[in-house]
Amino acid sequence: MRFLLDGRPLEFAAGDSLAVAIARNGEHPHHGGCLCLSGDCPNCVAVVDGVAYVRTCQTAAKPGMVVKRHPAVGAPSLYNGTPVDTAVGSALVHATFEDCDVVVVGRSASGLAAAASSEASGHRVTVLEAREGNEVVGVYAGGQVVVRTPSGMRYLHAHKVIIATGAAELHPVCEGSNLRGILTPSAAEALTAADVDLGTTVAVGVPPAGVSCEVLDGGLVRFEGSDGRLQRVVVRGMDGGVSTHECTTAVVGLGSSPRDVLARMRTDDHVEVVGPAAYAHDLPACPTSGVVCPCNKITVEDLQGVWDRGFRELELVKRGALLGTGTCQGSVCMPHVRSFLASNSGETPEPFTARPASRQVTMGEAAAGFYSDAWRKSPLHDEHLKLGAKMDRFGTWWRPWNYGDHVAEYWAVREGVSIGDVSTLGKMIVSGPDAIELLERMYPTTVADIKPGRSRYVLILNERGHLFDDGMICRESETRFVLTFTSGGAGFAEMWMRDWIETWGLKVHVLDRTMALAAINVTGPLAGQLLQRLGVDEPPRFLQHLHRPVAGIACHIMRLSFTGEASFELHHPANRSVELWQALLREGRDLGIKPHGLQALFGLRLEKGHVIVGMDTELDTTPRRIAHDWAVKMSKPDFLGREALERTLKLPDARRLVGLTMESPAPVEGSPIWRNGEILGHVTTSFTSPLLGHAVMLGWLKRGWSGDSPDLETVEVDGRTAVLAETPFYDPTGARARM
Amino acid sequence: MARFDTLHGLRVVANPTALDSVVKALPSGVTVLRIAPDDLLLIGYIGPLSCSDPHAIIETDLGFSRAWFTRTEFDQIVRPHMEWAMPPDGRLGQGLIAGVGSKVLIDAATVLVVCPTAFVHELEGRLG
Repeated sequence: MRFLLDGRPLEFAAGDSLAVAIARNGEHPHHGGCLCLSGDCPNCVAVVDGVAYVRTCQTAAKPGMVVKRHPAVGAPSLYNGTPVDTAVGSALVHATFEDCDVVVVGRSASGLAAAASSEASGHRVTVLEAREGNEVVGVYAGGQVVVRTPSGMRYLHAHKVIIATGAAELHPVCEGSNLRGILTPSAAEALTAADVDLGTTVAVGVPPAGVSCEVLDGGLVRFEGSDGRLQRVVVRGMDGGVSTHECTTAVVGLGSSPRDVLARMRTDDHVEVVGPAAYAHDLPACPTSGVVCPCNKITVEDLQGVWDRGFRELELVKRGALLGTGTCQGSVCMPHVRSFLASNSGETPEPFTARPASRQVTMGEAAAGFYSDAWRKSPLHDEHLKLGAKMDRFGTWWRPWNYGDHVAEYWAVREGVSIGDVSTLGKMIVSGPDAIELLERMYPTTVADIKPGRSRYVLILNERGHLFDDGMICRESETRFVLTFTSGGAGFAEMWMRDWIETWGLKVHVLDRTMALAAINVTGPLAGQLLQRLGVDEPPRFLQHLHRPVAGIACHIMRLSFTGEASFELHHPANRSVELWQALLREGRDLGIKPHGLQALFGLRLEKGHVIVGMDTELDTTPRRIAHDWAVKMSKPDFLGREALERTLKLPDARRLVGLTMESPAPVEGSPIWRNGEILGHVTTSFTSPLLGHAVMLGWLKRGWSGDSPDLETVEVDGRTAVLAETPFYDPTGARARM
Repeated sequence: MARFDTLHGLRVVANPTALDSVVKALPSGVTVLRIAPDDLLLIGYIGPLSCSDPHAIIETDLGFSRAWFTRTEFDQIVRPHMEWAMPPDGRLGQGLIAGVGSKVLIDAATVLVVCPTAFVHELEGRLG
């Protein structure tokens, strides 16, 4: 049986790990360094079948495997061979989620004792052992354990996690410790058991069991060799004399330290550490030369340099030298670094904390069990498809972009009647004795003077006075309001509102109705006529709202206008939406009714100069910058963002969202706005207006504005002249919206 | 196969004490999802209902869908897609199932899964 190592076939025996098979062939899986063959060190990691940082000592050899050593200098490429199943939006690494009472990590003597004790108490116990294919890579607060297995990732939720990972053998740190041919005792025992010829073998310190070797008397001084290969070991005897010993393999038994990477992730009482992993082991002698951290090749000289620069705390030394941040997460270097600090400072520091993952995981493994964003469908989704809609994703919803002819949809709005699905709008009920107090503090406009049955357009500002959403306030009674938000902003706006209610201690109830209610916008000069046909004798006037049945379906009718024409939003129970949609189309047939999609809607609103938050605004947009000062009442004593606005209003500010017109065709959104070879800003939205016969745009100017007016009249966009223009471009008096 | 049906519910938002009284006065057999201390969803019950909180918001709610599973079905179909710990029997659990915000209520033999109707197509597709 063979696999490939750096392109060369290597024979292996049944039961071999890759590392054992490589050693059997007289090779080293890395470029040198002491091997432990226990999964503790980084000295056997290699690229296996395209995945880097695989511990070859923990990986069974299989025919046809492709193994590549990591580069001697630098890092391997992080190829991720895990495809994503786009149908379900999930990585193809399988994930399972399990519940149990107790998880024991490590089938050690102490682990088995803990498991037996827990089982005797009637608990469901799961024992996880890396050598059996359950490699724990993370322990999180609340008792969550993340496990890598050959078949995927396991997520276990336990009431208690017992870490019984035992102890790891110390690696030597001295001159020459990065040569090939150095083993810990257990590695030597494993290779001997696998009939691997170790050649001339010497042992320093505690000797291995069952391994034929010469046991040297004395302490380790250094290793010597050539071409990266061990040839001699130098030891210092009890009498102080130094002796040199020829060998091909050196086994170094320096003692052990807690195998505590997982234990160092403990953040709460769900986790208990038992056995040698919890013991206080003796530290090794302070290192004086050699590689301390084989992961990042940090030497004792590097460590000394960090100390000399004034880093004294272990956590700072770790960050200063990048110790403990590599593949082994401090397993090898920690005892030596603690010994170094203890020797230099006189105090032994506690081990530094560890964070998941304890092992390199592939992107696919990290993504296992996670899904791409879920997108919502309105109750009218299938109706849109029946009408030939091209659907696209906006603001976490699937929405109709057009129904095949956005210009025809545009004209239906401007000249007749059209319907649009606005179920995606955020809708919220606010009720309580402090409702007005809340809304007055939350919104920059006045609320208390809105009469029941009336509504008002509102901006939503954060504490910095920056716009993050907008919507409507509809007053239902003295203490009850219906609020609307943008489709994309509703989720955040609800959290925002609830946070402030709690912060201010107000007595207000909030209910998000976004998905319980659907909404259809009936818009156009014939919209009122259509509603009358469907039973609304007196449709509400501009900015009024009322509750009436439409086609027998209970609706909350809000009169407003985003399109620039008379518009009635019909908010209704989601389960009646198809019925209402079909009734509107049926009764409006002779009026030339058409549904309109977002493509037409975006153009219609742009002609009116209406801003779409998130498309036309930026993260630091203030009302002044978009000429919405009229929606802010600075005479109010307080509202969110007021202090910031008061401060910034005194400062000069040249940033403005401006209206622009130019000959058709409309430039691409995002196009730079030029003036004399300098970029002044960019176009946020653009549309070729069928009615006006030219392109209309909104765009940001970073400069070119002073006081209340622009310093310039024209700019260049897309190599053509564009003229700064007042908005709205269409129906500037708003007469059509009030028809 | 997971198949969800629209849930006809009644949503009540009121102060917690008033909601406790509402729950106590319900006829037996009504499924109560206490979404938050001040928010509950009654399944299969649309009234009558009286609440001592004068500012309570009481609205029919057709925004959710539901599916019932046996414990075995749930363990096979749903549990592998949940990253969070299962709630104890009789207690409402809320979190992502296959990346979709959902609610889970377990009793001795069955498990109720509730999800916003707007996301049902995603959840059904992901659970298979």
